[in-house]
Formats: sequence, structure tokens, C-alpha cells
Amino acid sequence: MSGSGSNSNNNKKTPNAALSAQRFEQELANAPPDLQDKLRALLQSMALNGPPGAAAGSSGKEPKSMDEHKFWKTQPVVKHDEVVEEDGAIEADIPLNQVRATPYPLPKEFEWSLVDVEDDKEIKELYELLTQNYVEDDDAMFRFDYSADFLKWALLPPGWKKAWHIGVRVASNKKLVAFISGIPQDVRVYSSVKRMVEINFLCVHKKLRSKRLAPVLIKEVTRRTHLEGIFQAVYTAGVVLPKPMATCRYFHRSLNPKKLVETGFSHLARNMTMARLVKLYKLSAQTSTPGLRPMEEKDVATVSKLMNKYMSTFEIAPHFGEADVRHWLIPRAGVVWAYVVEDPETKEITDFFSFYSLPSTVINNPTHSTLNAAYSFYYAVKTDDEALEKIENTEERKAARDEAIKGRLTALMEDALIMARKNDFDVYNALNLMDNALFTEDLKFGPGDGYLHYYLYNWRCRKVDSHKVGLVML
Amino acid sequence: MLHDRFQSASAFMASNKKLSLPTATKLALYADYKLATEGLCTQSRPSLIEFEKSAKWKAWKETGDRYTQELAQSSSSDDDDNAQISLTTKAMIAYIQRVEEGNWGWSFNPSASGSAAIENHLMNSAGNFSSTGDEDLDELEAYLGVDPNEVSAEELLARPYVPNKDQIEGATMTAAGISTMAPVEDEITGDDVFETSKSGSTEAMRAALDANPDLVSVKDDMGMTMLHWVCDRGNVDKATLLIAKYHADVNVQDVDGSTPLHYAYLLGWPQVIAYLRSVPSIDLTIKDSSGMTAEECQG
Ligand SMILES: CC(C)(COP(=O)(O)OP(=O)(O)OC[C@H]1O[C@@H](n2cnc3c(N)ncnc32)[C@H](O)[C@@H]1OP(=O)(O)O)[C@@H](O)C(=O)NCCC(=O)NCCS
Repeated sequence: MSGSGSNSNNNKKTPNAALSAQRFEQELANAPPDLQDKLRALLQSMALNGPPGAAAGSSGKEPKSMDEHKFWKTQPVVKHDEVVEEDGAIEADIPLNQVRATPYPLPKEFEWSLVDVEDDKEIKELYELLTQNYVEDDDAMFRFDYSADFLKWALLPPGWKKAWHIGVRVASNKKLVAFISGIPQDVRVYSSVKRMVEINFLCVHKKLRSKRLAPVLIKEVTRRTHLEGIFQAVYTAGVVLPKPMATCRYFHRSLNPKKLVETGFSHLARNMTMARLVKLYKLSAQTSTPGLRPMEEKDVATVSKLMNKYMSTFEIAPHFGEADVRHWLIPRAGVVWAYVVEDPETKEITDFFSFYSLPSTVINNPTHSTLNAAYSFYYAVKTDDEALEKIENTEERKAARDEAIKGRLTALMEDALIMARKNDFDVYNALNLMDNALFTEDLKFGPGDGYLHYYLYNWRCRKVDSHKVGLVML
Repeated sequence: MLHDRFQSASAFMASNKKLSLPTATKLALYADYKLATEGLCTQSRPSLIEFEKSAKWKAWKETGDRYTQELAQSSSSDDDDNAQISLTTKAMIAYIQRVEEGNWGWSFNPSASGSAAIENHLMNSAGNFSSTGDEDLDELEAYLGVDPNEVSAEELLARPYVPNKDQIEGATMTAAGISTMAPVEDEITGDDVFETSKSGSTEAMRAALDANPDLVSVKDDMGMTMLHWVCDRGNVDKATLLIAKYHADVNVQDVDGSTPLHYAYLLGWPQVIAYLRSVPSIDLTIKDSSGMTAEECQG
């Protein structure tokens, strides 16, 4: 997308320019969390001491200071310069009778309107809003192309609430111009398990941007979650807000390198032939893991166990009940794919992996109209726990675990790539969360230009390393 | 609100008859005014001798037809921002935009217009101001409600979209979650005589070859010629030029024994394959070092 294009152009034009703060923030993601805070503090003091405007001048992408966050500074979120020592809620739960009972007022030309995601007409309005407005610039190269089935999957999980599918319409012509959604999810952060709401699909019509509609949407969804007795939320964004609790980087594995080059998704180095690229990314025609098959209803109980056990190794992770596993992981045509490994002898389910589909429209390309992207979703691999328990030294035990997981996971993910290729995907995307860093290099994933920041609302916690993040948000 | 703005703009124009505007501008304003106040033109065509009358009639009629068509189109196309607006609304918006863009000194002052609706609106908004005490709401009101220009949401939506540059900086692609492959650093190793076969225009390649015709048979460290590179990238125009004008060897093999046709098949460039096969001297039996003919490389 042009965001990335303009980034690289800027870099080329001023190769020696000081590291922009945005870039700094991204590089920081690779540093250990405690060091990150120190470096950030250093950056701020430099910005304060430098000539006025010097830091902000280069690209305007510098994270705003806390005081400039007119909205976020009023909210229960961790401040940019705050170093968290102890985890916990930032403000106390609000008794139901003190929660504002009526929706926040909107200017009279607008009205709140819950979107009925089960209704074909309304879901079409929603995906039109999202596909046409989810990116800002007109010369973007790609644009998300959500399907109605994808949105139903994303917005109607167990426990979903219509009150959390919040739209704003123009009063006069009823046009849908803004949206925000929440879905309930049990999330564990370090050792606390909380019922939270996952906020997603925040979108304001392009022509109504920068008018402070987003804060009103955020406040309204907050009010509505308070009414349900939930006081914590988790959300992700590509932009830097106060304050990321984790930052992950995107990695991409080419499945159809020729198309990726032709659409501008990836770049062909000058001395690289397309022929070599095609050979480099060629996958075998068949998967290699014996007993690999699509997940079915009968696997739900075992997969739930595998998943929750594997998730216990991360510092932020969802807790899935069987209903959640059934909803999120049983394959749905065109939306989500999941495979289990059934031991051919014992018939035991030992591992599983999954990915979902989120295509993008390729804008203004003579040969291609859609880029089919698969996104890595949840997985779990079997480890020989008895053997691992016997290793006394913690460091050694961790190394042995990683070693065991690395081999197994790399083989499984190679099969995931093969299945994705068979299903006509052009690229397989993964963040560097969970144990993904163990296989990305061997399986020829390349780093992306996108980063994803994780945020918690009304929960303060120590920074989490990307490989300790176990929560995947759509 | 839109109506008040339109009234004010047309009153301004009516009281500034002395503005010497080009005829085309006058006619455009006339057409929008008529469409906004009377709707589509239903009068019969005046006699051609009545120049002014018939020019006005034509502007009214044609603009109306165009707007009708545009409204129908936008309701069936992707961009349905305008789908629900009426012809009158569209004409009023166009009229106001012309007056704004003309910079003839008009500006809208809601309190001066004295309309009861606006008074009401101000009252309501003021009410909200004090009752919410909420900065974001106040600001939202300020933008969309009591903005000095009183631009309504409906009108904002009906205007053509102009990307807001400040906004783009903040909302990069990653805000929308679409990440692409990070650019690879190209290690640039001196002059690349093959550059024009790898990228750039056919003309640039022609110029390079005219300057140095021997280039056509030069091989790089992988044994590749310009023709190999062109077939790798799938550029049929350059392939044609290399063979037809500069007599490139169509059967040349690189260090792996691959001919340009091997490349074309491996990558599946149908036009390049068809062209190379039409060259009389093409040898389809050549095998690369893994023992495959070009056709067998087909992916
Ligand atoms: C994200 C979006 C709704 C923001 O709307 P906007 O009109 O640009 O912003 P507004 O003027 O209404 O509000 C600005 C406030 O919202 C905050 N904000 C912007 N994007 C945000 C996000 N993704 N999540 C949370 N808050 C966000 C800003 O930081 C600012 O608050 P601050 O002054 O405290 O810093 C809009 O840009 C959009 O629809 N973008 C495309 C879709 C998208 O990127 N969605 C988010 C995916 S994570």
C-alpha cells in the first residue's frame, strides 16, 4: 500500500536522516521490553531538548506526546512515559447504577443505529462501509475485501451482543457512516483471567474523518460494555497510541511470487530473476505430516485441551471454551481452515493449526483484481512434557522445549503453506507472536513493513514480548 | 442547513450582478439554480434565434440530464455516497461549491440569515455543550453542527473525496492492517549493462543497444543474456526488439542450460512463449542441466 511506498520513498530521499520516531518505535519492538521503556524515555528527553519542531518535522509520523492525545489522555490507559511495576485495573469497576444509561449524544444530523449482522441487507451495508473506507488514501495499492461470511464469523462468536455492533447513520438518508464493534472474550494477561471485550472494525467514513467521531464511538462502546459488567478491553492498531502492551511485526511467505511482484506486494531485487524466485518458493505438492486432516466437530473437545495447554505458555492469551473452539476453528468455506493431526496408530489428536482468509482488492492493476491472503491463526503442537519436566535447569528446559517445538512446528507450518497454496492463496501472513519466530526463517517468510500494536483498556501490565503474545485478533 | 446556505449564496449572487463572470460560469450557475429551485427542465426548446434564451435552456436541460445520469450511476456503482441524494440537493451543492470556488466574496453567516431552524440548532447545540461538558462531543458539534460554514454531513458526503494529507501520515497502511513485503536493500554493484532489459521502457533498451550493439550477446555471471532477462520479466515487446532488430540468439543457454524459452515457460508468460515459438530458428529440443526441455518446465 502507498503507506509503505511513501515510507520507502522517504527513506530513499533522505538516507541519512535521523531515525524517525515511528521507525524508532518499530525498531524498539525488537528490543527487550525493559530496555524499550528506557529507550523511549531517552527519545522523549531528546525531543524535549532538541530545537522545537525538529522531531516532528521529518514525516509527521512521530507518536504524539501524552498531552496531545486529547482523547486518550482522558481514558484509563497506560501513559506513554509510564513504567508499569505492578499489574492491575487503572480505575475501579463502575456500579451499574452509575453507568450512563443513555447513548452519548450525537450531532442531530446523526443517529446511533445497531447493525443487524444476521440481516443480509445490513451486513452488506457494513461491508461496503468497511471495504470502501478502511484505508484512507486513494492511491493505495490494496484494500481489504471483507466478505459477508467473514464478518459474520468475526462478529457472531458465542456470547455476541447486538448492542456491541454499533453503527452511526446520517439521520436524513440513513447512510451508514461509522462503525465499531466488540465481542466478549476471556483473556489471560500474565496470571489474571478477565472477561474482556475485543474491540475491532472501528471505521469512520473517509469524508467524515478527523472530526472526533472516533472518540465518541469508543466512548459509546465502552458505555455499552460497562452496562454488561465488563470493564477491560483489548484492541490492536497499526498506529501508536498510549500505550502498546506488545508490538508485533508482520511476516509474509510468498506462495505465488510472480503475482506478488506483479501487484507490487513484493519487490524483485535487481539481480534476482523471477525464475529463481519461483523456484525458491516452490512447495511440494503433498503435505508431509501423517494423519493430517481437516478438523471436524468430533475434535472440538481435544482441540480445546491442546489449545489451552499450549496457550498457557504465553503472557497474554485467550481462554477458549469448547463453544469458542467450535466457532473459531471448525472450517468454514472461504473463511477459516483448520487441520488436526490424528496419530495413525493411536487415533489420538496430537496437534492442530488454522488460518483464515482476508483477501484484498488490488487497485488499478491491469492483470490482477484480488490478492488472496491467508493469515496464520491458532495452533498447538505436542511436546513431550515428561521428558521436559526432567530437565531441572530452567534455561535448559526452555531451550529443549523450543528445540522440540521448532522441528514439529516447522513441519506443520510447511503443511499449512501447502494447504494454503492448494486453496489458491497468494501469500501466507503471520505476526511474530507465539512460536512463529521458530519457523519463519526456515520457511522463507520475509519481514513485512507492517507492525501491529496491542492495547489494553483499563488494565495496566508489564510489556509483553512479541513471542509471548498468544492472542490473535482478526 | 444546506437550504440556508443555498439561499444565502444565491442572494449574494443576485445582489452582485456587477461581477463580470465568463458566460460559461454564468450558464453553469444558472443551470444549477434552476435545477435546485425548479427541478428538471420541462420547457420546450426556444427558437435558435433567441441566443441567450436557447443557451440558458440548453445549459439547464443538459446539466439536468447529466446529473440524473450521474445519480443513477452512483447508485449502481461502488461509491454510493451520492446514491440517496436528490437532484435538488445535488444542484444546490454544486451551486454552493461554484460560489465558494469563485471566491467572489461570499461567506455564510448562519446568525445573519435569521432562520428559525438555525437558531434552534444553535440552541440545541449550546444545550449539548453544557450538558455533556465533553471535549470530543463539543468538537464534533463544532465540525458538523455549528461550523461557521454550516456544512452538513449530507453535503460533506456528496462532495468529491479529497484525501486529507495530514490524515494519511497518521493512518498509514498499517493502521488498516495491510502489511506488504518490506523492501529489500539492493546492493548496487557498479554499472549494470543489463539494467534496461530488467526494468524500464523499451525505448531505453533500444537506446542502450544503439549505443553499444554488442550488448546483445554479452552474458552476465549467471550466463544470462539480455534476452534471458527480458523473458524472465515477461516483456514481449523487448523480446521482439532483441530478436528482430538486434538478432539476439534465441537458443542461447545460461550456466544452468536454460534458454530464454525455458524462462518463459517456467514463469508462464503466454505472449512471450507464443512469440519465441514463432521465431523460425527456435530449437524446442534443448534441455537444461536438469534434463528438461522448455515445455517440460511449464509450472
Ligand atoms: C481509525 C479511524 C476510525 C479514526 O478516525 P479519525 O476520523 O481519523 O479520527 P478522529 O478525529 O475521529 O479521532 C481522533 C482520535 O482517535 C484516536 N484514534 C485514531 N485511530 C485510532 C484507532 N485505530 N484506535 C483507537 N483510537 C484511534 C486518535 O489517536 C485520536 O485521539 P487522540 O487525540 O487522543 O490521539 C479512521 O481513521 C478510520 O476509519 N480508519 C480506517 C480504518 C482503521 O484504520 N481502523 C482501525 C483499525 S485498528
